[in-house]
Amino acid sequence: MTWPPAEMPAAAIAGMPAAEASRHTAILISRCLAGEESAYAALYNLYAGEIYRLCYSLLQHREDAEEVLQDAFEYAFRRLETYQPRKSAFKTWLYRIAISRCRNKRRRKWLPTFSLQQLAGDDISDHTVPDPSEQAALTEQQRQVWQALKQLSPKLRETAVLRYYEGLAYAEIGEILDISPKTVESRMRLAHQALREMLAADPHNL
Amino acid sequence: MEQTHVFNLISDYVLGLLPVAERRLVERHAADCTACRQQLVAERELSQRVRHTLAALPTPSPARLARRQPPPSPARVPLFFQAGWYKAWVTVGVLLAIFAGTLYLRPNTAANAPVWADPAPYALATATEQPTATTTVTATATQVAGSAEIPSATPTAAATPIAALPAPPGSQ
Repeated sequence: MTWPPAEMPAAAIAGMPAAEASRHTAILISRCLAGEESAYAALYNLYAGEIYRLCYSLLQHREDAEEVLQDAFEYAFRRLETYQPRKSAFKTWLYRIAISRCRNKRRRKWLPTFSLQQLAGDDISDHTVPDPSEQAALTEQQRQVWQALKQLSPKLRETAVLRYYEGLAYAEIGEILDISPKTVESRMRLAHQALREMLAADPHNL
Repeated sequence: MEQTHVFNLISDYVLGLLPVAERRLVERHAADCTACRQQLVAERELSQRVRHTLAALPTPSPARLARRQPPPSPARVPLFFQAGWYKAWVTVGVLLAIFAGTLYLRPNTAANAPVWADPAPYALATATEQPTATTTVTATATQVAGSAEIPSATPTAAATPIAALPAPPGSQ
C-alpha cells in the first residue's frame, strides 16, 4: 500500500503540522509525476475546497468559481513538473494559478456579451440577486459583509480575502499577487478602511 | 495612564502591521484608555466578521467538486515521441524512404553509359537491329507457306536477308 493513501481527506491534512502537510503534498506530487492516477485525485481532494472558496470569494459567482477551479487544476496538473518546492509552497503556487484565472474570468465577463435569448427578451437574469445557497448559508450580518466585499475593487478584494480568511503573511500575499509586501500592506489598509466605512454606514453594524 | 491616544495605530495593530515596539505601546495604552480600547475591540470585531463571513460561504458538495476534477495529466512522453514531433519524424522518414527508393529503382544509366559512349557496339546494335524487321517478314512468309516451323526471332535468323528466302507458293 502506498502512503499517503489516496482517500486521505482534506480535513486530515488541515490538522497536520505544516512540515508534515508539506511532506504529504510532496509525496503526492512525486506520485503524480510517476503517472499514478489516484495521486491526482488525492491532490485535488486536498486542495479543491480551499481553491473553490478562494475563487468564490473573488468572483462571487458559484458557476464561475467552479469553472475556474477546474481550469486551475487542469493547468496545475499539466504543469506539475514545473512546480519548484524550493521557491514556494504548493498551496501558494496553486493560489497564484487560481487568482490569475479569476482575473482572466473577470476580464472576459467585463466584455459585454449577450445571448440570443437575452436579445429576444426571454431570459434576462439578474446577477446581482444573491445565490439561494449563499442566502441560506449566511446570516443577515454576514450578507452585509459579503455585499461590502463585493463593493471592493478586485485588487483590494484579493488582498482582503488572502489576509482575512487565509491568514497569509504579507510577504506571501505579495508573492501570490506578484507585488511587493509594502503594496500589500497599503492595499490591506485601504480595504480595511473601506469595509469599516461601508459597514459603519449600516445602523445594524458595529 | 498615557494621555496621547493611539487611534491612528489601532487599525495597523489589528492588521498586524506594527513593529514590536509600537504593538507594545498600543497594548499598554489600550489597557488604560477606554476610548482606544473600544476602538480596538471594534476593529477586531470587523476583522473577525469578515473572516467568519468568508468561512461561512457555502462549499459545493464533494460529489459536485468531484465532477469538476480534471483528468490526470497524460504520462510524460519524451520530446521525440510527442504527438507533433512524432508526426514530423514519420513524415521525414517517409520522404527519405521515397527518395531512397527512387534512387534505387530508376534505370541504371551508369551501367549503360559505356555502351553508348563506345561507337563500335552502337554500330553493331544498329546493324543487328535492321534484319529484325526482316525476320518478322520471314516468319509471316513461312506461315503462309504452311511450314510447321516458325523461325525464332533471334538475331541469327534475323540476319538472313529477305532476298535469300524461297518465294512462297503461288506467288510466282
